[in-house]
This record gives sequence, structure tokens and C-alpha cells, in this order.
Amino acid sequence: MSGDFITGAQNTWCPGCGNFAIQHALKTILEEYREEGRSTENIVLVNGIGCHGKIGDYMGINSIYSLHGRAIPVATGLKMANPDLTVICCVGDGDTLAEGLSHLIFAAKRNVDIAVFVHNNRVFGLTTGQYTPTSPESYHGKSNPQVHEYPLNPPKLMLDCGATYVGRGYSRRMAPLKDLMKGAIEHRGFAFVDILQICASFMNLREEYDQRVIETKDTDLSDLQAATELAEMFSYDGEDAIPLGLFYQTERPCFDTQFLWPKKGHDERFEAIKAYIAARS
Amino acid sequence: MQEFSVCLGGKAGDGINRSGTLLCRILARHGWKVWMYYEYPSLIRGGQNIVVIRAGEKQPGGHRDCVDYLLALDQITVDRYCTKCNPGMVCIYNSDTVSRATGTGIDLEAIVRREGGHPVMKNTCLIGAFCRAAQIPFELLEQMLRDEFGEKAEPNIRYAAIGYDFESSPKPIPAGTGDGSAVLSGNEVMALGLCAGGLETYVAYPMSPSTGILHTLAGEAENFGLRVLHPESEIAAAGMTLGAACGGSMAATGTSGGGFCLMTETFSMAGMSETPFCVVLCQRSGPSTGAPTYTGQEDLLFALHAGQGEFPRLVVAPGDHTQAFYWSGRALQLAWEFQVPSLILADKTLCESVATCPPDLLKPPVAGPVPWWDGTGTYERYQETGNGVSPLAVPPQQGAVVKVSSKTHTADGIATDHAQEIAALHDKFLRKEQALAVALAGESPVLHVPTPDATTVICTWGTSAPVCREISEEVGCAVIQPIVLSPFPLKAMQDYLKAYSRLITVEVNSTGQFATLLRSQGIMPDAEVKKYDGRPFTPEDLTTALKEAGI
Repeated sequence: MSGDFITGAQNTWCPGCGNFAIQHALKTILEEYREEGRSTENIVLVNGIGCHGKIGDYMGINSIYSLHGRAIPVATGLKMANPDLTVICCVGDGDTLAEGLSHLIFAAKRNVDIAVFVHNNRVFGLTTGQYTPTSPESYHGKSNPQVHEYPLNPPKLMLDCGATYVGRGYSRRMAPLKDLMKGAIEHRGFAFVDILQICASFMNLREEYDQRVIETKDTDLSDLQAATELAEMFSYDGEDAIPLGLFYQTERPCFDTQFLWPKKGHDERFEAIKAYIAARS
Repeated sequence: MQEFSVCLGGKAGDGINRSGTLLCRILARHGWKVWMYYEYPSLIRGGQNIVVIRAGEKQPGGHRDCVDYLLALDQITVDRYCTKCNPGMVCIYNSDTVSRATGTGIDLEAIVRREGGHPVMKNTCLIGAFCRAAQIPFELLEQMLRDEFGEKAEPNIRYAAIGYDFESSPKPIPAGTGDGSAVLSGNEVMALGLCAGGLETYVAYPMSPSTGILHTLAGEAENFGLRVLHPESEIAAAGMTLGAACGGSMAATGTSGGGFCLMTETFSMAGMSETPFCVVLCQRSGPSTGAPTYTGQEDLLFALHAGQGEFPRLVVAPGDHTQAFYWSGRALQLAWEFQVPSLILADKTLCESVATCPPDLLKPPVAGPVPWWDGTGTYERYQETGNGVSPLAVPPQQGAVVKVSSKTHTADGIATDHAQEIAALHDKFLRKEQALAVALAGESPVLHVPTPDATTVICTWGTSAPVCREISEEVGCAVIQPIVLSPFPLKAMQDYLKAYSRLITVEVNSTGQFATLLRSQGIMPDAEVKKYDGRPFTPEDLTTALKEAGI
């Protein structure tokens, strides 16, 4: 793998795809770590399936190219195995909010120490333009010419579920996006960043986002009520302003701190097994 | 007296299973080898629960139809067993709930009212009366209660003494020659076997009859140094198990058929991504929800084919507690040695039956080498090797970027759709399966129990095997049980089968799945014996069925 954190795999994202910006932000963060003298060998990227998932092939770091919707259970397993790993989940909106929603909710509830980046283009790209849980209600793709559904509000949902770091970024606001993502990686606990990205082929909301996004300022990050109100400003529909930035950050015991007892060696383990058996004679 | 059987029955919620296990421990201390079959409906209270304990000088591998002692907390138990009694059966019953019975009635409800304490102590009182009829010394019973209940022993001892005062027609059980072995359920044995194999992480969603493994490991997590989690679904359990393995932790999950349906996508990913992945699949009766607390061997072909696409897998089907201990641990180890998904195919009969397990029978599995990366050169997760098994590294690994993939990939773990590379990955998997088969050939993948002068062989699998072994001499047949079912141990099977002219299969399903597997390997059964009523074979009904099959 090359030293610039990008593999030699041929990139097949569409020209103008928001994924390039997210990949660039991640690469910049890794380069900063290298400059800071921090090892990147304990970082594992876990991705789902969809256009976003190709990032697993493109990034020259440890990765698990997992299944549609299942990046988060795999990431949780990694943290059970080794709490010292830094685990980043790059997931899609169809991926994690449709197929894998239960896992997302439970990871927030458990406060699993991972950073979840939703590449939220609000449409299925790889399967050619079907609606996802965050598509605007008025959106009709080839699979829902009649049906329309009210969109989910992912940051609001995550605040309800116990996430301890919740924010929103935009693929065309690179510097704050990079800071938000880096903060998520370094946050001890479940960090969730909803990244609005345009889909150049099926949901090009570039103009709409450019006009409506606002950076949040002077937010009391410990105020759940204020964070919820911030999250509610944009309903993933309508024409309201779209707040970007970190909405909420708090501390809560992490999932992996529950497995405190040491692992046992073979002999010690076998003694424990024999004792278990002896107690049942 | 070479063997005897005891039935204890009552309503769900009466504590029948625990009392049955206690009775097993008493009989084991009295020197007998026991097997306890537990039958219960899928509910918490109400309905009928029974245990049938069979004790013998030799280890029984199943229960009998008829019993010698009947301990009944309700009328249903009496009615059910009044026609299934051996001559001179001792019947001890709750005279406050049973109106039609012959034997010794004990006014258990009145005793509970008089003595106070928990109603479940009625069982202890019955056990006391049983020990009196069997002339088992009260001191043995008292010590057992102290060991079982600790600080709560005293009221139980009082109840046992009240029961011991009731005199039934005596039917003594002499002390046996056993060494007071531990009695364990199959679920406990598989949990311990996994631990002996090196288990570090267990993630599972509760589902009968696999739940006992989860409970055992969660209860002993600190003792054994384990990480145990009950997550939101079987899908999550499978994903976490795979993730833990990617993080270097020897991980396993357990479930029943319905839960395994949800896991198959991850099972297939384990195959494609060459991640060590171990699952205990505990079969139960019927498709869909089926009869959740009853047994079956209906998931054999499912286990062999689960998951989309083609990939090598290990499937083992232990038939008794000793095999279950060894092969649970070995299946976990083999998953790591060959980077394949491995599946331990158990069933309700194995999971929830309790049996004596002499410690020396619990042979710890001996691990083979895991092909860890030696740190030289550029690391490639799926590096080509002669036998298809790539050097393994897990993050954080200095000098290595580890790329694990669910997609068809090249050696570096990056997705490909080139024709040659797709075919090359298939070839790698085929070579790996071959390497696994070669390794297994040296690990006694098939059990052969010869019978002198036999020309007919019973070919069977899983928990049907112990019952077949037991009656083999009586019916004049040998028995062959392949414990490893994938990769199929064809050479060993052919070698054993050469000596016989007639082959009969025995299994607990309606379509003859094992017979189908044999045929796919070119082994042609002459007759099939099948049972599919949710119950395991007893020696009696198996003997009858074999005779009907023209043995």
C-alpha cells in the first residue's frame, strides 16, 4: 500500500460525487496523525455496501469491506476483541438507515466507541436511484413511482438513542467537515456524523445545500434539548436552513469498559473448566 | 440390576428440570451413569414437563419408553406413564393433585401449607420418598442437598426427610460402580468445549434449544476470561462474531434454525472473507417456529448449503456429550487453522439432555498451527499459497495493512471482477477445502463400532448414533457415524463400508437428508429408518423400526 493512504485501486465514483470529499477529509486526518507521530496501524475502517463502500478499497489502511447494513455489528465485534482499536464506520444512508437501522440504534444505546460517518446522499446510487430513508418525501425513484414516505432525521434519532457525539457535515464544506470527523474519531464513545453529500447522478442537491447550510456557533454541546432543537431545524424535507457542525457531545461509560476482566491463558482456563465440572458431581 | 429408569413429571414451573438434574447427581454419586431426557412445552407456566432419567452400569445414550420409578406431581404424569411401567414400578405421587393412582400418595400441598417454604420443595420431598424406596442412604441425599443448595439447604433437607419417612414398597437400587462423575447438559458441555478450544468471545441471541450455551458462558464469563454479549438480533450476533474474529479474538455464536437463517449472509461473508467463524446450530423440530422445544435432525442439508455462493466450510455433528466437548473446541480451532466458517450441528436431544461426564472423557482438543504472518515482505491478506490458506494478521499489525473483504477480491483484499481473478479465488477455496479434508482425515472423522459377524451396517449421524450403538449388538449390526460431515470424509467412509453388504440409515427427519448426502457421495443406502415426531429414538422404537426395515 502506498504511503499516502490511497491504494492503487481504480476509482469508479462518478465525477463530482460527494464521496471524493469525504475520502479526502479522511486522508487529511490520517496525514495529520502521521505528522503528529501517531500510528495509523491501529485504525480499522469498516464499510457497508453501496457507492460509499468503495472507500474501503480506496483507503490504504486496515479495512473490512462488510455487508449491506452490517458495518456496525462488525465494528462492535472489533471493539469487543480489542478496545484499543480505533474503529471508523463509513456507511451509506440506505445501508445503515434502512437495512442496518437496528444496529445503528443499538450501537448508540450501548455507546460503542466507534465513529460512524453516514455518506448521506439521500438516494441509492449503486442500484440506480431508488429512495432511501432520508430521501425527501416528494422524491420518486424507479422503485417508488407512487409511494412516498416521510424522511427520517438521523441526527435527531441518534440524540434520542443515546449517541454521545452528534453532528452534521456537508461534503462541500471541507475544512469544518474534516474537523467534525476528526473530533468524532477522537471522541471516546459513540460518535455519529451525518454527512450530506450530493449524488451527481441521482440526487444533485448542490445548489439547495449551498444556499441553505449554516455553521452552528456558540452551541452548548452538553445541552441535549438545544441539540435536539438544532437537529429538528432541518427535517430532511422543506426549505429550512440546514445547520452544520457539532450539535452535542457528552461522556457516558463506553460499551467496551464492561469487559474488564483479563483473558485467561490455556492452563488457567482449563483449571476453570475442571472446577466447573467438579462442582457438578 | 443393570439399569433402571425414573420419571419425574409435573406442570411447567414446578422446577422439574432442576429437580431432575438433582436426581441425576444423586444417582451419579450412588455410582450410576445417567442420561436425562427433558420434555417440555414452549411456555413458562402450565403445561406438562417431564424428565426421564435412565441409569445404567454403562453410559446410556438415550432414554427408554418404560420406567421403574414414577414420581408424579400431577395426574397427567400418572396417566401418561400408567401404560409405560416396567413390572413392579414404584409410583410416588402428590395425593393432593392426583386422584387416580396406585402407589404411595404424599399430601404435598398439605405439607407445604404446614411447613411453609417454597412450593418447589415438593419436588425435594418426592425425591426423599424416592430415595427411601430405592434404599439410597439419607446421608447421601443430605450431602447432595448441601452441595446443591448451599445456604438454602436446611429447608430442603427438612422436606427431604419428610419424604424419606414415607414408606413405599421397596425397590432397592444398589450402589453402582461409577466414580460419582459430574452431570452436565449438552449445552454446558459444548460451552466448556468451546472454552477448551480457546474461546474468547461469545455473542448470541437467545433461542431454544441453544440458550443454555449463552447462559453458561455468560455466567462463567469472568471465570473463563470471556466477553459475552446478547445483542439485538442473530444478524447482529453473527456480525459481531465475525468482527471479533477480525480483531483477533476466537469468537463463536450459537442459535437454532430460525436464527441461523438470519446468520447465513454473514456465514457466507465468513467464507468469502476467509474469517474464522464458529457457530453452534442447535436443531429443533419443524420448519419456521416449528415445535420449539422438541427435537429433530432437519437442518443437515441446510447446514451443508447455508449461505450464497460456494466456499469451504467445516460441519461437525457430535452425537454425545464426549464428542460434543471435543468437537466444539476442535471446530473453533479448525476455523482458525483454515480460516473457514465452522458449524457444530447439535440438536435439542444433545443440548438439553443431561448426562454423566467422567472428567477423563473430556479430552481437550489439540490445536493445530494457525498460519500467522511472519512479518516479512508486503502483507497481503489473501496471499496465494500452495494449500489456499493465507498467512493471517489482525490489526494492529506493525508493517501490515490488513484488508478483509466480502467481495470477490485479489490477494491484497481489493475487489475485482476480472474473469481470471474470479476463477482464481474459486480455485483458492477449492484448494483450501482439500487441505482441510486432508487434515481431518487424520482426526478420526468417522466413528465405526463393529459388531461380530455383522453384514449389515447402520449408518447414522448426530444424536441418533448413541442409540444405534446401544442396540447394535442386539440387532446384529455394526454402526458407522461420520462426525465430520463437511468436507465429507469419503475415504474413511468407504474404507469402513467395504466390510458390509447392507446399509441402513437412521435419522430424525422425514425426508432422509443424511441418506441424500450419502447418495450424493456415491454411497447407496438399502433402507432408511426415519422418525419425525419431535422425539428422539428410544432403543425400543429403533429396534422395532429396524426390524420393520428388514434387518
